[in-house]
Amino acid sequence: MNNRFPKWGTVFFMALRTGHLDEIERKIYSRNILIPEVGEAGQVKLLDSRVLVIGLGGLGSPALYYLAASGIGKIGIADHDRVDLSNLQRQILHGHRDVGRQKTQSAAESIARLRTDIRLDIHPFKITSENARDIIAGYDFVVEATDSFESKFLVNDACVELRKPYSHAGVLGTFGQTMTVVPGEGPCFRCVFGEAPAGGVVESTAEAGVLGCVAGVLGSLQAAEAVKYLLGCGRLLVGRLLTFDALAMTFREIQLPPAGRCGICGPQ
Amino acid sequence: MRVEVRLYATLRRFGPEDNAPVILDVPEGTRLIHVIESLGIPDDVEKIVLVSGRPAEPDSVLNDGDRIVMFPPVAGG
Repeated sequence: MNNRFPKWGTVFFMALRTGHLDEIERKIYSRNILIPEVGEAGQVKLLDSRVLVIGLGGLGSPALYYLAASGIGKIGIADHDRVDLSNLQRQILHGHRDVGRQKTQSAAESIARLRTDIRLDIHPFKITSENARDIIAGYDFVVEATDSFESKFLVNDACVELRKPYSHAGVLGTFGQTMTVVPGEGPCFRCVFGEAPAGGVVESTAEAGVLGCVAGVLGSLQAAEAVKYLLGCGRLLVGRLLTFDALAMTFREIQLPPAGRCGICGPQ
Repeated sequence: MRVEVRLYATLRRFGPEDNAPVILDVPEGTRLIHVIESLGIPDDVEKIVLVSGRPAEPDSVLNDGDRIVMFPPVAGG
């Protein structure tokens, strides 16, 4: 392990933020800063932001890479799993040499190659109903990149309870879909999908497969939603489910029902 | 009366090859379940159904001009 990084689970390098960018940051983020919706003030905002990525697989890999590259100051990464050979066709945070290692560990190393100044919180355990709220509470936005209905509902319920905005996505085969939940402003995952389907009723990626680049597209969209939310710009996927079909190469949008059907969210 | 059905993701296989919306002429009083059956979608295929933007039950009665949207829950990551 590189000696620059003292210990996993601790702060790598704490940049002292002064409310403006230094010369190196101006250079690194020059292509962001040129975008009118970002500018120097927006870049400072991103460097001051905290995002949690739950799941470091096919969705979490591109999401984490792009969030880190965009300059998010502090990122939490949560996954209890270890890298498996079958992950490598889509989970681009991890490589052959990482097989058997904790995903949080190999992800942290990949991100450290990209950013030396990032503050990375490592959560190398399963997100459960007992710990979800404590973990999520410390972030401004959550990227839900998990691979099970159980986890998706759990993250939704915790985020709704904490009034924490988050991006949901799911992929299967050559399809993917994503929506953004901003509690109080639109429907949550439970408003749309109700309850978790019984086990075995819906195919998983282990049964039906998934094209790696489809997960790449959806994970990148999740990163874009996070950045937009943090900058307060654009139109989020609130109340809209965006579907991606790689075979037809089409994006289509489904208007979602209003919030409140779930009984836990809605305007307060 | 006329209703429109749009199928997404893995449910596309129950629609036309080009994935165009399915336009159905159905009698007054037609229920959602009749449309689902006419498309050959089995009961055990998990799906979220919205009728004109609202969640609907299989026995919901359809209205002229309703747009029926069906998509699967997808959990892969």
